[in-house]
Amino acid sequence: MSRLKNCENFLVLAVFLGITGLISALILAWVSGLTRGSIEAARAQRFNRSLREVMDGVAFDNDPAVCVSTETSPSGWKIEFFGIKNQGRLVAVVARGANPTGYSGPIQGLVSMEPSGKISKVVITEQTETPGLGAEVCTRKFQRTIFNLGEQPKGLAPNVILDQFTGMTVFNKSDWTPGRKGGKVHPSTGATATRWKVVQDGGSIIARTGATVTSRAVARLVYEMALTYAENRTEIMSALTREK
Amino acid sequence: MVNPLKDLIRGIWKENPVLVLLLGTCPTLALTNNATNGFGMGVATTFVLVGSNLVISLVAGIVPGKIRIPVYIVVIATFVTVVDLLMQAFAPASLYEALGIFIPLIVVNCIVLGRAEAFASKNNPLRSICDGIGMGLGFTLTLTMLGAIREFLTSGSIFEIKIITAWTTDFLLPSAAPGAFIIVGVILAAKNYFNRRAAIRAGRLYVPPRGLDCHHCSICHIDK
Repeated sequence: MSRLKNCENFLVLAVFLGITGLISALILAWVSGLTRGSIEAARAQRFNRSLREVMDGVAFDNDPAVCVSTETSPSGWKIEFFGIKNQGRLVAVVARGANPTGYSGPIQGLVSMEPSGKISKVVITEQTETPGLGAEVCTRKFQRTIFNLGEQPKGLAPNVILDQFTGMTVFNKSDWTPGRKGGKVHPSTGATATRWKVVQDGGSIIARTGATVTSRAVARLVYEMALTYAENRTEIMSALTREK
Repeated sequence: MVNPLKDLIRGIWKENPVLVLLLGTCPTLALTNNATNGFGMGVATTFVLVGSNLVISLVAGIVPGKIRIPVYIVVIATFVTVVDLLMQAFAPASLYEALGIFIPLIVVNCIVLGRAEAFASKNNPLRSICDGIGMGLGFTLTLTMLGAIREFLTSGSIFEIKIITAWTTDFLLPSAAPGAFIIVGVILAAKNYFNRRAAIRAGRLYVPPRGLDCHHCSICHIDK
């Protein structure tokens, strides 16, 4: 054994490193295969929980996972629209999409909208942003104080950045400020949308200090999902009302 | 037979990984915005430290000396990835949400590689485990204390529970990077002051812990 430890033969060292890499790859492949099913099940469970969160108390009785319509956003992202029904009637549409240009990875979120396209709530489901900075933009937390330690918080937790989107619609013509540079051009009016950009880019979404990139990514994500819904509204509605 | 308990206690004060060995300063500065993040990072690092110390001390006998660093890195990265996958699949959702974000950040933590090279590769598994627990404990305590100080100075809260409810505007300096450097610097100065004062009181010359100067380290061969 000590002969191997003090060996300086280049070939032996290279082979040893190669074998180490091979064993490591085999172990990882094995564990990955072992856990794949459980990870998928955990992800589906998380999706159901996030769905209940983003609906925030509105009752529904169908299984949104089977009532789905998929569209492509203007930037080429895949956005899924889930129909939320109560007693056969469509009460809301939940959009799920992911922005690949977050600070340290893709940011996936859910946006609940009324059938008219007006945004109700935004919940970020998957992100790998920096804890304490970018992650603060994406997570909803109740502010606990020493006076309300025993209380159980009810409803959806607040988040200063994410709550800005409540009530915004892409259809509303006042969202489009004519004459500004940059951003998407509305096909019929020719106006550009800057209300959906962060303040640093000339818009009106307040970003978090020290997490501008993440705030920008979240704003863009919500905007793309709302825009895709607005542009394909008739197809999506007919697909969702047709399915069970 | 050296008492393994000594290895456990050493990492908490005498050879604290952050304040004495100055290892792992990156997560120390970045993840101590609040006490909860500091504590979570410390706990996750402790777990990885114990596991990687054990694994390295088991394979160290057969690894050629010239390529030990790349081999240790591969071993540690594999171990951390396996832990991450198992946590995603089988841990309760709240645990993974709390600690899962820290795990990819631990692979590049210098404490893990530093202790693997300086201790685990030269000692038996039991002592390596104790060293991992001790270093991890010291790391957790330091990070939690630092996180609590920074969080309190920023917004009057600790572990995300607001103590001073009237404090509505956050003081941004302690929670940003420059504030982190300043506060860590002050704590380092305080620790050195206490060490010197204890040495003077005991009537001896203050020397840094044995084995931590250039001539006793084996990473580069400056002694040759």
